[in-house]
Amino acid sequence: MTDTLQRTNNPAAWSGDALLGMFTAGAQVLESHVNLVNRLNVFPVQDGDTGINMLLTLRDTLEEARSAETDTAEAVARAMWDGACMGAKGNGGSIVSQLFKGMSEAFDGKASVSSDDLAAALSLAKGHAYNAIGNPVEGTMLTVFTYAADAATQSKESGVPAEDMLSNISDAARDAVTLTPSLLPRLQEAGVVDSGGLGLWMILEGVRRWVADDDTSPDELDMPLPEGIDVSETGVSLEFLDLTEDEEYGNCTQFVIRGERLDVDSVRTEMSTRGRSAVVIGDASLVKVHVHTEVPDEILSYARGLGSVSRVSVENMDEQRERLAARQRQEVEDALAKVIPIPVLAVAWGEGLEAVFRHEGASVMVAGDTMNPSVREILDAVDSVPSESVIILPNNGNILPAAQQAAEAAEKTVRVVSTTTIPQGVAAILEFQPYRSIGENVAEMENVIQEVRTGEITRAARSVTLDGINAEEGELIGLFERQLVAAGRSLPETTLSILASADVGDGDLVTLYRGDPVSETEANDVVSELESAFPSIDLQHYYGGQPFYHFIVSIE
Amino acid sequence: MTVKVVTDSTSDLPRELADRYGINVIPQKVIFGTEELRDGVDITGDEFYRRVSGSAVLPTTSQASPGEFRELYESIADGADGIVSVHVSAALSGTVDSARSGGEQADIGCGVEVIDSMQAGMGTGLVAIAAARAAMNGGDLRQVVSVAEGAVGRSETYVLLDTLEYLQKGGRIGKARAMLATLLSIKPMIILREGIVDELGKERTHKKGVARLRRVTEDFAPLEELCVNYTTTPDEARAFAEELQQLLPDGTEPLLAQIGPAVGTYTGPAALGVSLLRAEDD
Repeated sequence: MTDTLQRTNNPAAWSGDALLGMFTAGAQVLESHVNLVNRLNVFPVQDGDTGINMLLTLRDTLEEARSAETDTAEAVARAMWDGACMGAKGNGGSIVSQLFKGMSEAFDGKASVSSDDLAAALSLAKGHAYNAIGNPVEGTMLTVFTYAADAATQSKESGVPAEDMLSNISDAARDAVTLTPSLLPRLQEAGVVDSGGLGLWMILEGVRRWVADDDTSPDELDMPLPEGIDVSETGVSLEFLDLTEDEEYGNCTQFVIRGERLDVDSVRTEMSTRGRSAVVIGDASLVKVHVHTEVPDEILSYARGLGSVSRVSVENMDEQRERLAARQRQEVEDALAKVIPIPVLAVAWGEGLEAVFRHEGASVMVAGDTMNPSVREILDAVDSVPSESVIILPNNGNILPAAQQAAEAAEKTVRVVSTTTIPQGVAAILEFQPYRSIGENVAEMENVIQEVRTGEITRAARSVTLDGINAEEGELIGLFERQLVAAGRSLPETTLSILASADVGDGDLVTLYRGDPVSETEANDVVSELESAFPSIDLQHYYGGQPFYHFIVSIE
Repeated sequence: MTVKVVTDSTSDLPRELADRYGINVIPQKVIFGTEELRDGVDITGDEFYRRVSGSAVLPTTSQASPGEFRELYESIADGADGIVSVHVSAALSGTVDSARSGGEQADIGCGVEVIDSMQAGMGTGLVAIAAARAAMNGGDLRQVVSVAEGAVGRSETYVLLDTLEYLQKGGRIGKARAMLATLLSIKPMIILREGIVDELGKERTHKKGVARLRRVTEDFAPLEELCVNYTTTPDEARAFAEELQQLLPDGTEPLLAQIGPAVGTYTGPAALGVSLLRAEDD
């Protein structure tokens, strides 16, 4: 490895490869603890995913850096800034991207850089970070930036070796994180440290480890958490969430403006007057905006007057907040349920269906009919399963081939069970036994899915005559084992036709998964009709929450 | 001179079998709130299931005390040249310890050997029966102990539950906890082997569960003895026992036993199970 050579031969001369190594290490540390960072985040509520936003920003940064034209520090830093600026997600991502803006400026014209250059970059970055925020507040990432930059400057002045400088930077950032609750009353109230600041320290600590050639696992980290914060539990109480409910309203609006001679400062001023929590970053040719506003249209038309606007995202913050609350409730429920993880990756789409698989201990990849994942995405999902061997349940005929391809390409031992429907997937996962080998489990699962039959109820996407039945576009249709068995009939009638086609009898288990198109009341009506028509079956129904399908019916 | 055999009511040994083999059964305690009942004396199996079905809080069970063991041992020691006391798995209950203390305290002229059956319900019952047969055939203490210990290694119990509810409310479920998080309706199958309760698997329907119970029984053969266990469904148990008859040697009838309160607390109503004793290797 070239960077190893550079590190040992000349610790103060880093090429572009070395920069890549540093921040890859930084990203690894953050990634290992990203859920903690997400959980800590309550301030502000609307950006509920600080950790993941920072991480995604770093990924884009590193990806762009890998495609830099040359291995000079200048080229790589410039590419990093391009990637970070384009990829910046949320407040946390925007602020962390300033690090790379500072680097691209400080490393301009340099093939390799020293720790002194890095100190200069941090100092510039700190300034940009404060400027990027319309209304800077201490006790946030900004404080962590300040502490880190000041430690770098002091180390530079006292002429310490690169390793020591990075160590000083990381320590100072860590101290700043522990200070955040005393600087920001709301953090104190919630009993947390600033999540973005914590994430920034993690990145800097990763950089330190790379420079010091310290191969401690990214999982191991001495968390700067005040007493009373339990990292294993949700750090934020739902009560606190309720208290902050009325703090912010409107729409979280994000977009990018491309143009010539853009004036970042005037855009920032404009955004601060038209909205709240404005974050504006960029340069003369590209500006990225994040702002909370009740008038997203006005802001967008202003932006369109400056240049071409892209990557527009307008999200209702009430919905964001509700999602956050729902997610936290789910986390609490999961913790109570004490699910034991199993090495299974199940593909499902719909809140209820996902929960079914999660409660069996599986990792879930959200995908389905109109959202078929790439091999790459499946591989990523496989990587996130906490085991060396993984069984994939694709649960969809269109996803099965990509899953098989992913199994061949994966570094882990991956086996695919050929489930093409959710009912098959459910039957398969219930067959999993921890005491069996992966191969035995797969064989048993393949057996058991033969005994499950599947019915589906949805609306005809086009007019068609199939299996002797004519269906008009938009009509309700019933499919049994992918054969058309009913069209244009009511929901209860369609369900009855499916069970009649399946010839269900004494003791058979029929499970209905209710999808988004059906209300609970409608579903209950169907259930009572089925119960009187087929009194001897064991009928179960659950909320599946799947899109498009009124019911998915499992017959066993 | 004879060897006397003792077991506890956790073994679910039906009265007529206990009488036939001369086995002394010490009652365990079933506790509903502050009410303490002697299993099989103050409360029958049927009464127990009626009470738990209508009750939000499950009863607890408790082993007979050392004093009660001492009394029993003293009352049967006359003319005996030894007592073999076969009990529920020490991993699930303190009965074995209680029996040992009782044996040490007992003022009797013969030895008391306490056997950990590593089973519960009729899994323990089958070990006690094997010991009693050896005693009836004139075996001395050493021989009866040796037969009982041999039977311990050859017995297993499988139970198909109708619901996870009771397993969830109870404790003592070992690795079976893996299935407790499920959102789905499942029929859990548990196995009692080497002292502990484990999850064998889960079936979607009772019908499939019974088929699986038959398969595991066939896989366990050749059998010396088998007992079909039920909680509230004796007719189903009888029919199932008839189906399994062919797996037994000629002249051996399958046994039938109601799962009592100690095990029933964890299985709940409508459970069906088998306790098996594998034939000795030739």
